[in-house]
Amino acid sequence: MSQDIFPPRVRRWLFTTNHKEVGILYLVTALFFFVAAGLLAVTMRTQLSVPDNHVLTETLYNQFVTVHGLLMIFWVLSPFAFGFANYIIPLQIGARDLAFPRLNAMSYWFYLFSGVAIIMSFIFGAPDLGWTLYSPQTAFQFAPSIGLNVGAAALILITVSITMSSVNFLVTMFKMRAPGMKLRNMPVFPWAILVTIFMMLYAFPSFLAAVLLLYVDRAFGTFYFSSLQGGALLWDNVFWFFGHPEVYIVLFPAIGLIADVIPTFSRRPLYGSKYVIGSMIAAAVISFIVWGHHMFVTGIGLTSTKLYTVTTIAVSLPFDVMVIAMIETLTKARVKLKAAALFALGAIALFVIGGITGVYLASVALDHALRGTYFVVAHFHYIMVGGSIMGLIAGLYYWFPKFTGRMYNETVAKIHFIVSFIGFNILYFPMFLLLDMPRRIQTYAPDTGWGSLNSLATFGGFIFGGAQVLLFVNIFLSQRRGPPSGPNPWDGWTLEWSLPSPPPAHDFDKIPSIAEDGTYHFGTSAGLPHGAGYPNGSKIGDGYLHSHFEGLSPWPIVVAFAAFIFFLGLTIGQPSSPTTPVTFQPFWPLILDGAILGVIVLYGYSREKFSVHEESHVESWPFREVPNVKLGIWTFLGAEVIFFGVLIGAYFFVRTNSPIWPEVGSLFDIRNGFAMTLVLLTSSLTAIMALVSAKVGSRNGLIVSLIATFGLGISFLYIKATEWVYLGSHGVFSVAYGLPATSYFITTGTHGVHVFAGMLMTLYLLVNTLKGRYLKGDHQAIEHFGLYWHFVDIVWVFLFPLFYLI
Amino acid sequence: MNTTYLYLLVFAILVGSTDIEVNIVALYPSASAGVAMLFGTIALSYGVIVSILLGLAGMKALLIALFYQHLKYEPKSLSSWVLIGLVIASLLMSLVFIQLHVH
Amino acid sequence: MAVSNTQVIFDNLYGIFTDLAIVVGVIVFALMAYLIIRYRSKKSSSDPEDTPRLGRIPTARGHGRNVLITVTLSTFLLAVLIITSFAAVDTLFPNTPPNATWCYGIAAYNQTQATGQSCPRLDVTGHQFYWVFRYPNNHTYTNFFRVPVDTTVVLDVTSADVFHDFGIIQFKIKTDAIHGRTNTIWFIPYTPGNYTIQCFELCGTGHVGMIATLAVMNVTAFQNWYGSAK
Repeated sequence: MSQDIFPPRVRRWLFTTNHKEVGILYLVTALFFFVAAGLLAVTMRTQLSVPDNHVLTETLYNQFVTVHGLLMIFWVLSPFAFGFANYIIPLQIGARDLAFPRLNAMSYWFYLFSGVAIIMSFIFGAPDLGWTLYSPQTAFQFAPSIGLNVGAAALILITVSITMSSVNFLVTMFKMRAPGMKLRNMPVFPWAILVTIFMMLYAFPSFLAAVLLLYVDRAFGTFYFSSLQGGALLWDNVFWFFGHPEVYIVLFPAIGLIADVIPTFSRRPLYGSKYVIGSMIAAAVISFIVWGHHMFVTGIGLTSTKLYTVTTIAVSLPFDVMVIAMIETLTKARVKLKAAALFALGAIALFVIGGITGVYLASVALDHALRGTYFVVAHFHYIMVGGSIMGLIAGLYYWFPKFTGRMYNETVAKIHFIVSFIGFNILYFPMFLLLDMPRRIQTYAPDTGWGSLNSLATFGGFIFGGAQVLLFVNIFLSQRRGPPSGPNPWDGWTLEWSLPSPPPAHDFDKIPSIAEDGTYHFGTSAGLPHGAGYPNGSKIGDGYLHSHFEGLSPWPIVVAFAAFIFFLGLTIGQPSSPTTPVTFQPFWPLILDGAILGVIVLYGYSREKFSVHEESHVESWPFREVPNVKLGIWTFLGAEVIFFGVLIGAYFFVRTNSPIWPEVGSLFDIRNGFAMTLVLLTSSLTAIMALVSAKVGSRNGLIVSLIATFGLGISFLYIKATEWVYLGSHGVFSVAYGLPATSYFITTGTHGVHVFAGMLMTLYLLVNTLKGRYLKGDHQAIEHFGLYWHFVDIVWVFLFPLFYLI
Repeated sequence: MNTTYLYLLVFAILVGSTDIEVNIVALYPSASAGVAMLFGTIALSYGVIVSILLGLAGMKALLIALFYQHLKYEPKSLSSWVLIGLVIASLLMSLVFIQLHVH
Repeated sequence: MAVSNTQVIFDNLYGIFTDLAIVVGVIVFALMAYLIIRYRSKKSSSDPEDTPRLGRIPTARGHGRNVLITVTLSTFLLAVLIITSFAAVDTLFPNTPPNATWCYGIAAYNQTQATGQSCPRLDVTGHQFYWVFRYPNNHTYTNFFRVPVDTTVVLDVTSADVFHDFGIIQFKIKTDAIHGRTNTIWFIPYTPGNYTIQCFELCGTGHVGMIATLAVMNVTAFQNWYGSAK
């Protein structure tokens, strides 16, 4: 693909794989969505300012409420934080980039296109049922708008983006720390990101599964969420199982950077840093068993609600430790109240209020009154805006000089803080007092008495929103005209401050190392000649220097674009019947375009020579002997475990919830399942024989094994297809067979897609084998394919008894 | 042992246990009142058969992971992400079970 | 003013939570403000001795003891909150609700009063976008229902379509209305008057108007109304 059609500056931003540039892209995009979602919020506040107001129609209000929530949670908070993470984490741990730079760029482009999709949904009638997308209102009969489908496409794309990021960051942080940068030596910000991606890795697959079930229900008329045995509670479970960790996912990066900012500006080390880190890990683990508190009033029974009350109240303890540690840091300190410090301390104060009111909501007794009211709105805005956004703004001021090499205007920044802080409290505190007012209502009657508090909140909203103009003006003007900042304006001590501002493309001239006594050494390990920056005429793949630091790759953006087209095609469709729309027809031309483009560009992506140098003398406990790619694949399989776990969990849910189920052998022919099991087990054998052949250098053995694996994959899909056709033609979509067929088609269908993907990989491997690769010790690709293929086999090993034999 | 033979042995066990799985279904109490076996008629309860089936599936999965994915020869830490995933998935299922069936 | 037993229980519990919240909040904010003012950077002050420097890993600081004290104190506070919450929830939302007594004295149900049996429950069904209330005599009312004061009323709440949430605002009580499920709530109204019922879960365009009225009446007035209803 020719890159010369774009001017160099445009080309650089479109094709960059450098972690710092990707970080800036993330930050700018997240701030753009922040403004977009903020404008939605200001419009809603205007609508609510007085009773019986009609600035917005109810439909539009509901759309704004939904898209505001989705945008802020998925497209602002996490990407804002991951802009910092992209830029700063490699610098703080002493790495030259992320483990997989192109994958990182691809994560960004998936994120951008998913954002385009969610904004596009307004064209088709945006989702209007709250960001929680409660079932069964998402069923086609209640929500015939195509906008919800486009929203689903956006959510799938951003989930893919986040999963790729999680794998990338986990491998980077475990495998690429500078010598001596042991885990316990990492600053708190990388630790917070590490804990965040841990939660992302396991929470987002659940969300992907949930959205997938939703999409298939809407597109193909399956019954998961429209049936009584699945329905509302199934969605509640799979959604909130993701949703509660998500709350901490958007919070922890801010906590981590606050825990680095406060010590820097109070000139003392963080109090009890190991307890802070331990608390983060504890909270992350507990976050996976508290989701039921979002379901207190669904009637799930006293045992469950009490259990979730205890776990939820218990999760406040680790946060307690974090907050106390930050406050104790100030003792005998020298607190410099720069803008970053003000925002960090302000964020802690607001977070304390958000946390304390969270304990109210953890109590099942109080939740019966407070659920669905403005008390909840106030609580989580104190956490997400007060804690997260204010904390992230602290990060923006803190690292601005590092990003740009220039100082911002301190006075304007301080005014920005004071106005924001006051505006914030006028905006959100009245909502605690509106504990009778339902959230997500477009208007209210004058006799409710809610008018004055709402007017106050709207007034605060304008102050808070207006204050952000100061932020944008300040950073926009300062990055052009601000005085030079020098490398370390705050006298900070983490590694990024040892570099020039902004750092050179390759970050470190010489990878630093940390001695046993905790001192840094620059230049003990082999490095680059000083001053290696942006060589002229850099090309892709011509050697270590260029590929690693100058790497421009056109593929990440086009792969993301292909996926965007593909999912848009899947979701923009026509209702199957204009009068009673039960399902809709996907838009096949777009799907086909996306698929064909996708295959072509993925081929280009994998053929591109893009070598990433793995430093040999790095800290990599506990994965010392594991190559990066292999660790990445195993990390990805960890996410896959949750994805299939949730699909099987959904089956388990409707199965044990259904009074009757077809007898074994009556719906699904055991002989079919048996045959497919044998075929897939055999393909695992041929896959491992491919690896054996590659290792001993047997070209014919490798070719035969790969062809056999491919052929067995085809056989598997063929038997599957005949079974599907048979079942489809025998009326399994009748109500009696609704859920058995639904769970079967979705679960085995998803598995079938995995088999198909594996077969594409064997074709790719076959082409390369014919070109003579993999036989001279470079068999890693064969091994990595095998790891995936065997995993798909293992999934089937469970699906076979679950569907055919039980 | 030659790795090829090892892989073939694993394959044989996998196929063999699949065969057991398929045949054990005949023992469901509802099908007929048990099946004539060497020591007379036995009928296993539904729960026992389900446990046996899932146990066999678990064993097959373990074999594939240990040998075909050669986790047996890798650093133990490599399987940690998958194991944590399994723990979290089983937490999900247990809490859902309590929700549905314990009041 | 006490309007129902549920409101009284809520107010007491909310009071306990708020008292503790204020105590904790005041301590935390006072400490924070004190430390910031006491140790703010002045022209004369210089960096503390243990200020970390670029080029060194910061020295560890802090006592496990303090963390332990914090956690212990918090655990104690939280235990109080858990215990009081459980007491309230056992009363308000037991797995088996108490006997309903709203029908005592009505001729059709008078055998229940003597034997202490439960009156039938009232059915509440959420629709897009209205509430339907059904009495055991099969009379139904849309967006409006009546109960006698000082008696136990038990409601079975469900939905005919999407996910709604049935909340009686002044009584501080609500439950989700979910298609295919029945959730039961109960209360004792203390004061005659009209109370607002509203849907608390966004259920579509029309949600904002999904409002109903609960009229709490004197017992005799209620019995007259119930007996004379169409």
